[in-house]
Amino acid sequence: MIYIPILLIGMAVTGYWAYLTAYDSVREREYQLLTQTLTLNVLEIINERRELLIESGLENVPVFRDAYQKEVFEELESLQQATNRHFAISDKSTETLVFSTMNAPVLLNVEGASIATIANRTVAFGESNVNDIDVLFACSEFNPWNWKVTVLQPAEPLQSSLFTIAWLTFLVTLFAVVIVSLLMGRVTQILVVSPIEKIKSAASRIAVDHKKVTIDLQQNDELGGLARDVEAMSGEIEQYVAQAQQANRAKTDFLAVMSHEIRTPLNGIQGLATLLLDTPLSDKQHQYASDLKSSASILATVINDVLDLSKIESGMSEVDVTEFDLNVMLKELVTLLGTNASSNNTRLVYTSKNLESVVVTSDITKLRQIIINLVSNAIKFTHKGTVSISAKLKKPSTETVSENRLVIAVKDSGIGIEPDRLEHIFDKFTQSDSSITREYGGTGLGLAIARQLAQLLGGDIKVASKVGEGSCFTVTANVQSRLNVESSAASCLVKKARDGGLPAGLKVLLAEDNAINAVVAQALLEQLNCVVEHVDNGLKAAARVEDGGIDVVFMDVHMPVMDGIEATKRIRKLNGDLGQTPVIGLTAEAFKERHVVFKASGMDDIVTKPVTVEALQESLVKLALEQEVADNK
Amino acid sequence: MARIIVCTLFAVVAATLSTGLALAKEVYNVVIVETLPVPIVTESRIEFEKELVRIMPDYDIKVTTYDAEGSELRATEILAELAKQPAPDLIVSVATLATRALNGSNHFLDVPKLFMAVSSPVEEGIVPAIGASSKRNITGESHVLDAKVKLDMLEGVLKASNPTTPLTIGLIHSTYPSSSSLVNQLLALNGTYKHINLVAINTPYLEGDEGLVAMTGNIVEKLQQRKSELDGYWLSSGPLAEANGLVAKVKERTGLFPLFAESISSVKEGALIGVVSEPVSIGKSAARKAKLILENSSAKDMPVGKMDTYTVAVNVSTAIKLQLPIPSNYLKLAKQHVYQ
Repeated sequence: MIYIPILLIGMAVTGYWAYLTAYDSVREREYQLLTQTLTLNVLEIINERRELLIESGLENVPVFRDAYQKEVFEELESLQQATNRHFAISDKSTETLVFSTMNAPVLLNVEGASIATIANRTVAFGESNVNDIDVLFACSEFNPWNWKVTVLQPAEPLQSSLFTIAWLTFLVTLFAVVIVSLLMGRVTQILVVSPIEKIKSAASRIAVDHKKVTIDLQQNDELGGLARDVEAMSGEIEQYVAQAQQANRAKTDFLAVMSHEIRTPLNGIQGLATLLLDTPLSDKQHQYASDLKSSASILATVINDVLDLSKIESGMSEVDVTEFDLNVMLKELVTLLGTNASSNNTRLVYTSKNLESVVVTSDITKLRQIIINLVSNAIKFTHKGTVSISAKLKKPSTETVSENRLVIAVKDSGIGIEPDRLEHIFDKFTQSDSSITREYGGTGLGLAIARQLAQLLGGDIKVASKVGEGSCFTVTANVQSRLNVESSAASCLVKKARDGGLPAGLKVLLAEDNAINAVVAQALLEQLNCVVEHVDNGLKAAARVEDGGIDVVFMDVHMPVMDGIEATKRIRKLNGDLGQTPVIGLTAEAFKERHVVFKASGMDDIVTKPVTVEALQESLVKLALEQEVADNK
Repeated sequence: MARIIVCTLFAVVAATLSTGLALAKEVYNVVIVETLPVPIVTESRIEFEKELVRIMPDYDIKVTTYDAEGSELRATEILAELAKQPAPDLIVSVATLATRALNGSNHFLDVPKLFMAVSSPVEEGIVPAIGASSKRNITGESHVLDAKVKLDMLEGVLKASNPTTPLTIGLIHSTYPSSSSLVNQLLALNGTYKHINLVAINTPYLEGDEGLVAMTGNIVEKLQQRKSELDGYWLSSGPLAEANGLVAKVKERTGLFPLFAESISSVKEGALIGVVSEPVSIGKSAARKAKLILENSSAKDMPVGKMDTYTVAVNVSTAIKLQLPIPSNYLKLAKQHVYQ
């Protein structure tokens, strides 16, 4: 592109040079015509008559010489009219004007005039000013008659010609510059812009697809080389992406395995600790067992946080939207977390707006996780105070589904956060004060996870805090909402299920290969008044269901002989009601996509290890509700 | 043997005769009738003969010349005598009177005829206009310029000296037909030129040398009588212009100079300017027409025209004396005919 201005400057210089050449040429031509007029016309007219007089022997006859000089004057007058040039003849000695075609006297400034010899005559020529008019002149002497002969012409036509030449040169140069610019633009478009656009397009495809691209450029210049490099780079990117994806899958697999392998013994520890606490213990033993359960619970929280964060950051955390009653969900959370608040001498208050008889569509799990996290934090940092949860939809809902904005504020009267730490509280592994970790525990991942989950839901979390007065975390999320006309019936069912509890003597088949987990799960189920029958692999489980008399099956996924998935498939193939026997999966795999696979094999619900009595109960209730709703229909 | 010799001799004689016949040139008989032996007539006729022989080398041109002695009647008699003889291939008349007689003769309607040195063929009734053909099987050329051209030239000369009043110029002439005709043409244009005022001065035409002398005397006498009103005179073509010593006598008796003459000799003698067809040009031009006629072109179809070659002559001594500078363009045209 540097060549374009150089070329344009070159053309402009060439145009100026052409103008100067034309200028000199025109001036030279004018002087040539003027001097030729003088020598070949005027002086010849004079000389011809003198020669004639000499040949006729009349040179010294005054009447003839006077007559012939008069003829000269007459011819010059005719010539003046024909050529628009003026002629003047003066006496060389006295400078007396003998003849002139101009009315005014001719006073020439011949200083600086050029001298040339034309047709053996010496001629002076140049520019002068006569009577305030610029003129070109040429003069010479005719010695036989002692004459000085001058030819003049106005410079104005010459200046006009030069002006015309200047304009023409300018216009031609401008035209040439425009044409060359257009041509160069076209050439640049073909040779530079178009290839760059192809390369840019290829780069965009690489950014989106991470695939190897082929760029249709055959040229062998720098752009062609760049295209080849981009092609090669795209191949390497594709390869790196494939490797990264493979590595990510390996990481995911590793996390899944680790999740399973850690949760399984943790499940046993938690379960056994819970069972141990239900046995007669001394105070000291009870304290140990309680600490053991608490430690296991903290460890489970840490593991869950790490796994959640991994899922979010690897992009594996997907939004799983369902329609639910947010008001009910939040009230349940208040009930659930109220125990913790009470133990901290803190009052937990819940208020709502625009949520009555409204169902929202969002990811209930993530929303619940966010709220639990924020409320747990608020309770943790509030002693003898109040934690208030206020939820609202920005717009009132109608019977038709519409977009809405959910705002939930969790406000506490706790210790507050230092202003300079506010901006870092959502960073991973960060708490407002390192001493907090020591005093209050926690991994420092909770708020980071909560904010990322909120962002997954199309919202965010903002915080306002004042040290000593408390903090307010405000969660926003995009949801869909509608008025629930059936909510009363459904609510009645839920309420009935919750209030009425599970039917006693529910015959549960527990398929679990891990003896400790089996003991824990069986004990927990028995706490729910279930009659538990245990088998240690899937084949036995399927056979037992086939025998009949089982109301629900808790099926561990990973078992020897036959895993839970295959066993579930077999159950689903049984005839009649046996094939419809509810199967609840038990797994240490925390990832959602795995749960989808399990459900695809026929499982009705999944309970993630370590199992708790609440999780088991919730799952059983959910099954009961679904069954009841189905029966009502 | 003798028979052989006789036969051989016979063959030789026959061959010689046949070769001689074969080498003999075709003969053309050309008759010339000249009006009178004045220089322009005689010189034109001589030049005609020379040129015709030169341009027709393959023919034997036999020329017979008759002198009409300045008389139309004599010319008519000559033609009557010629009519009794075998018809010539071409009859040429020189000058006006011989031409008038030839054109008026009915003896030679079938013989092609050519005239030269005739000033006014239209006025002579040969053709209705210059450029037309004659039904009487005659063609030729006028050797004088249009009157207007001649007046233009004289006006040009006078204009150079820018006289305050027109110059009064006496148009001297005889009643010789061509002279009268030319003068009439000039007089018809009188008054159209700023510097020229023409006055006719004539004398009756008298035949023969004695008549020429008498005409000269008459003219000199008339000019002397009117010299006070004249600035010069115009010597028109015709027999009077060929009179010996006319210019000198007029100058001696009146002090007048001829300002325009239609003969070189008059310019030599002192005429300011003259425009004439020289006898050489007249004779050569006529010879070229004669060749066409002898080569079977019809004189009936050849239009009568004017000559295309004229000679300008000036006399600078007269110009100096009269203080009438000759314009440079006339001086250039005169070339070899600048006289002092």
